Amino acid sequence: MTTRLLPWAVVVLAALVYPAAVLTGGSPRFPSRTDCVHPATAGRNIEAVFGRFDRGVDAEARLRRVLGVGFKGSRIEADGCGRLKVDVPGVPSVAVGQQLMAEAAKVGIHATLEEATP
Amino acid sequence: MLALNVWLLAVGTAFLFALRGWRSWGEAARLAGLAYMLGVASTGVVLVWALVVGIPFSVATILGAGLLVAVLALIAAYRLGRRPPPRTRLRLPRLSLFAAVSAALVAVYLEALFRSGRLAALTEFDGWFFWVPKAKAIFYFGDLDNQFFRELPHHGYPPLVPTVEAAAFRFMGSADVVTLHLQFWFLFVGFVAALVGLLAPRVSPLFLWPPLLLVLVTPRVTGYALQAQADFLLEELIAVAALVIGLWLFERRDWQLVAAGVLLAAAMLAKREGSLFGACVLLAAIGATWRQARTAWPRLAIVGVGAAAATAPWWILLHVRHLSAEGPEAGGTGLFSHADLAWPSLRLTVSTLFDYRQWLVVVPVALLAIALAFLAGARRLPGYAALLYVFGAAALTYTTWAFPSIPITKDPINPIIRLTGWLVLVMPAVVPLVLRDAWQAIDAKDET
Repeated sequence: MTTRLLPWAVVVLAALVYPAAVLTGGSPRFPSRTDCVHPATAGRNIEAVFGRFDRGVDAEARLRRVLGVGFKGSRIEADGCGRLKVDVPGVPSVAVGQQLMAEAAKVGIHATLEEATP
Repeated sequence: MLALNVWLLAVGTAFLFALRGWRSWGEAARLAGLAYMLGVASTGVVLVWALVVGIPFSVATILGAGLLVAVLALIAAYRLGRRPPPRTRLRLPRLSLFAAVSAALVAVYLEALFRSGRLAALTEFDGWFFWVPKAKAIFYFGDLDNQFFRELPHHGYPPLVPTVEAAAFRFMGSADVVTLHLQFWFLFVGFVAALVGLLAPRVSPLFLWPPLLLVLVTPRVTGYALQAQADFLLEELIAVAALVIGLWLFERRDWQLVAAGVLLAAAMLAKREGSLFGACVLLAAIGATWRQARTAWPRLAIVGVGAAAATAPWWILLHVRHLSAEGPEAGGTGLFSHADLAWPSLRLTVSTLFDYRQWLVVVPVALLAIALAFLAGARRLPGYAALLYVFGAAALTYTTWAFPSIPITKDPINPIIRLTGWLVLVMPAVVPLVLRDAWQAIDAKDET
């Protein structure tokens, strides 16, 4: 019985040792949607983001609203993590971006400054 | 995705039960890899037919297609008098230490392959250029959208692989092109399990495991086996079909031909070259059975005709939509107008098959095994394997020769490296049988 089990034990042990050895370095990290959000830093391409949406109709509704209150050049883009974001590209600096965020807040729109990624 | 693959295994298990039944549950477990490949092939073919006739593609369609195959198989099994094996205590088969160490290496290899595939990006050109867009179209539109497929590159390529990819998207719940690579991991594991399950009781572990391990560690397999495109699935289907037909050459079980027919049908619906490589397998079997032509050839012809007939709905759809089947630029007599390309095409084929940086020494080892088997006095299996490689090399030469617009190069613009993979994956399927044949021939000589 032992001689029959021993080779099978070798197979099972090897199959368990590899994932165990990998897991000793920490559990695997899987990307999440937050990986597509990069906070703005000075000297990089900056954009103001007016929200992220799972559905196109929601993104279009937000776009209509931000265009309606005067944020010209706003557009809808895929964010690379399966969602649509409404943003204004080409914000020249963090300071200008903060003014833009303050103006948006006055009309009840939440905006964030992010680094624009290709 | 796990649920989808368990479903494909269940469908294939019902199919295999109808084909041959089992003597024990241990035997059923051993043949799970073959069952899975048959599940992929049969469900994939039915799903392609469903798309062709315009049945909306959904989870219900995927389950329904599998259910159709499984129910028909179970009805056939009942009529054929198949009975489930008796419930006995499951006994582990005896495993040599060599086989155990080899199996452990394969298990760790597949785990590592899973790890690399889990976060693989969709960078392969043909993958993002048209294979995955086709799958996304099936996923989003629920059919073979006329306009989209007309405007997409290579609309004439058969759609089994995008259909399997779209099924994976459906079960994932989104068109996740990263996780999609794991579907190809399941297919690859199924392929390896099918080879091991079929060969383990028939050949010595010394003949089974080294060829398999050699193929697994080739740079091309380690780097590209999980690509989200059609090449590896095509080659896996063809290799398992070649193995089942190789078994038929000396066991003559009808179920083996039916299984080969289903696998070849799926291969022909996976890529245009599936018909060419499938024909090579059948022609090699025809060559190996020339002494039994009266009994063997009609059966092999039925396998070929049956497999080709399964692809007819797709070609009819192309015809109805007035789309080109994208055949060879210089097929038929066109080859003679480009006779100057014959020799460079053959040279490219041979140099790719022997390219150490792609395939290590897989093909030289196969040819050496065949030569040794002939020297030992074996004939049928070495003859079959030799014809496979001869016809295979001719077919690969044709794939370059018949497309004069494609440069004769190993650069990715010419698919020769990807296509040569079928003669590489065939190696661990056929060479163990060749070596066993050689060993038996030597034994027979010793006895006389």
